[in-house]
Amino acid sequence: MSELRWNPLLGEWVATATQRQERTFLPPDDYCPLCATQPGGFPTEVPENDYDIVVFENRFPSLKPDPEPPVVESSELYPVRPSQGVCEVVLYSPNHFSSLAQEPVEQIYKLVRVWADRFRELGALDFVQYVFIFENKGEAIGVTLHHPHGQIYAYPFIPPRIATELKQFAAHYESTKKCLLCNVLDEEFQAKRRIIAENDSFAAVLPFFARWPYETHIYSKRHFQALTDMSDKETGDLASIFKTVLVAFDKLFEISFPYMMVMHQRPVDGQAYDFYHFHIEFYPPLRSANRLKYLAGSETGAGMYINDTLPEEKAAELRAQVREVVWQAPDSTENG
Amino acid sequence: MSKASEKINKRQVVMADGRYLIFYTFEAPDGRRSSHCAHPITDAKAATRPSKN
Repeated sequence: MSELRWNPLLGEWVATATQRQERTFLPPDDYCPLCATQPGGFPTEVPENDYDIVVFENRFPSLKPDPEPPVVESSELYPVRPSQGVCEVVLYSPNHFSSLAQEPVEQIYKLVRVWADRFRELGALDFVQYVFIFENKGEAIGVTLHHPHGQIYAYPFIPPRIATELKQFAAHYESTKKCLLCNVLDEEFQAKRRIIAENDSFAAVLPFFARWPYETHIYSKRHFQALTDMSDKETGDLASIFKTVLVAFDKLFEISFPYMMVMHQRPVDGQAYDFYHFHIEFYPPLRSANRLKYLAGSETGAGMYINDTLPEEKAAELRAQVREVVWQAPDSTENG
Repeated sequence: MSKASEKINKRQVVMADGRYLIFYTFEAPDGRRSSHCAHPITDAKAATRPSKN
């Protein structure tokens, strides 16, 4: 059972998806449903492993292209609608034991191209207004399958956090005729203390306003709105800085670092969003090697985050872990 | 040579329950398959776990 129920207190949709209770939970490594089906073995989601990257519809989706009618009736106060949308799983590698941080930058470059392809294809569906690319990594985040993978949700509306950002960007543009994130980037380059890494096209920043101790953002230096707006050079540079950030995360405590990664792009509802600016945000839940930051009363109930650390100090810690990204392909050294 | 000269190949199949699955592979201009996985393997279970987590 899946449907969208309106929360009139916050003015936002909540998805019920009861079938997700049945999804596979932390199976043993030799019973991974995301590994390719082996000869004589149990059937998995992927019938073969001769691929670079695989994308498929989630078996336990909260949004579906052809959803069932809601099980409850709408009222004026409580609108209900079918949970129409798409939920995709993106497998980063056939190798169960890899992670995106361990993949060569060339593989991440391919992944960026696949993400752009999915943004284009899902964004063309008439019932989709926002394509959200993300990854939950690590049991600390609640991941139920270890095989390296991310997800894509194609929403039939613009989700609340994106709507808030759009409102802020629009207001800033209205009052200054400048892009909010271009101004943030200028401020960060002036301060320098929170810059973790940069290349020709992107900067990785632990922002002034970080809510998580190691929250890291990737900002494009050029003003554009989506993956599909990037040149090939920018695609390579995004793969490079992605690898830089992930390796720094892993080296920080010498563990496979848990995080949520979210990609903020323009909506695909046919409106103009020239004032918006593409960026990626990472929210790692660790505040030290073995301590988690929990979203407790203030964060969850009031929406005010309390960061127990100074962004300037945490940026320096991550900056110390930055390593050079080496491209193996002979034709791609300009992105090294 | 631009990396974008690697051609994306998409092969879509439909699973038994009607869901789609898309295999993405990349091909160099000379037609060779371009593979950059960290551990290109034919048996996904044969790899050893390099992660510390």
